Amino acid sequence: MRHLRALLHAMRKRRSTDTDLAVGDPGLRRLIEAARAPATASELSGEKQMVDAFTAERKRAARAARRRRRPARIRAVLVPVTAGLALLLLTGTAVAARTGNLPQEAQQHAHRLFSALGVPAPRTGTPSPRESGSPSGPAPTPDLAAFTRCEAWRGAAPLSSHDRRTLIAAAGGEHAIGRYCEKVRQSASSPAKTAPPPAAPSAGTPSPAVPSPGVPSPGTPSPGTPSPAGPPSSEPPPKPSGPAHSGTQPPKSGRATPPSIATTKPAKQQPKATIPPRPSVAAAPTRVTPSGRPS
Amino acid sequence: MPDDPLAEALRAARDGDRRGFATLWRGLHPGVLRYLRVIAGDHAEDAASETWLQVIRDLDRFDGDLAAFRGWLFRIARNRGLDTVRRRPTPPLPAAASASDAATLTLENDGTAWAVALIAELPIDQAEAVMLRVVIGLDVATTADILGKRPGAVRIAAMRGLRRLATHPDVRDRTQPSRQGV
Repeated sequence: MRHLRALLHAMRKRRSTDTDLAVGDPGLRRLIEAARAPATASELSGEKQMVDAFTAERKRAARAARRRRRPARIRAVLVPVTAGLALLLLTGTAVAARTGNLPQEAQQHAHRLFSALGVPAPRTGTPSPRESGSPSGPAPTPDLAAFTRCEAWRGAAPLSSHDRRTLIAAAGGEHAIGRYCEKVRQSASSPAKTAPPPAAPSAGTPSPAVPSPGVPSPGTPSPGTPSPAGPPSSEPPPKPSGPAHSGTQPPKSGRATPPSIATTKPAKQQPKATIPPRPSVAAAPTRVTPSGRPS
Repeated sequence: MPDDPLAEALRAARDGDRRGFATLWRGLHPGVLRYLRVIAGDHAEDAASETWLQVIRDLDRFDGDLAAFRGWLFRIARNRGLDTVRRRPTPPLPAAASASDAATLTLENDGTAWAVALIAELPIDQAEAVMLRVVIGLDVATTADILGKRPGAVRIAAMRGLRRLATHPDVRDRTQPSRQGV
């Protein structure tokens, strides 16, 4: 018990620096020293095995790190490139939509979705009002080949069967070739810009443009005669054909000209003419004729 | 001072140096094995192998000095030791048998095995506190951290363990002849 008391005393005294708690008792000190003794050979017998395990693990870790680094490098290249391409594509589409250069249907979609952002409607969105009479929609541009074919069809030159088929297809039928060629001739003879202008107002204000060719009353007064229904069939043909061309097709021109008037003539006065025709039929001729006759 | 070569060895081992790791292992493995003898008995060798394999696997994630490494090492050792015992529980040896073992060890003059066997006879919390605090030489905070106890509880457990060991007949028997010798 004396030993124990000495031990407890030592422990109380050395609580802060208690690395050698067992100092007090020789037997206990011996025990602790034995427990702390240097390694025996049997304790270290497993050294080679463990060091080999260490080396193997290091090799495996190095391989894994290399394998992990490779896809990371590929990803580091691929991600920015893909993002850049996507950004380019989006920007291009946005610019095309903003300037109205998308394909017609896509532009229509873009306009419906982003009209608030200033995306315009398709420029050639309503081609039908201008050529409501003829089914051949997409042939308003002056086409030299079409003009040549029309000349050939009229008999100026031999018309090959291929050209004939092309002409029929372009006109939308054999019976419509006369009307079609009339249009081709007009667009070819007049300055090249005459075709687009009527398109612009018709696209910008579709509602006024549609009724004008459809309802005959606003269109027919334009020749200048006050009576709306009577004259168009007899008198108008000479007048528009006069400034444009001297010789038009005899029977067909009667039916062909009204649409052509609607396209070419109002085109120049559309800003003025579109508003008046609606309120009164009588007011329209007075305004149209002064500007219509000098031309 | 004796820790200096071990601190150097730890740095080398973390850089992947084989000889550095060997030095580290030689310096610390005996303590791990003796501690595991106390808490895992016959499974100490297996538990020690698992401990070192885990150290090898996670060494590049370890970041600290030698003192921190010792704390980390013995925390792993404790977990592996308790796992091993849980997996393959061995019936606790009868006190008489262990005492005779200790006596045999004394006769064989394997002082270390005898001392560890005596410590292992203590209640487990006292045995662990004595091993980690007194034999291995970890500080109170690290020991408390490993054992999941408050530092005060660790101090008391170590003290009680030592007191009990001092009264052990084998310790006192061994004391007598040495005194006579001196």
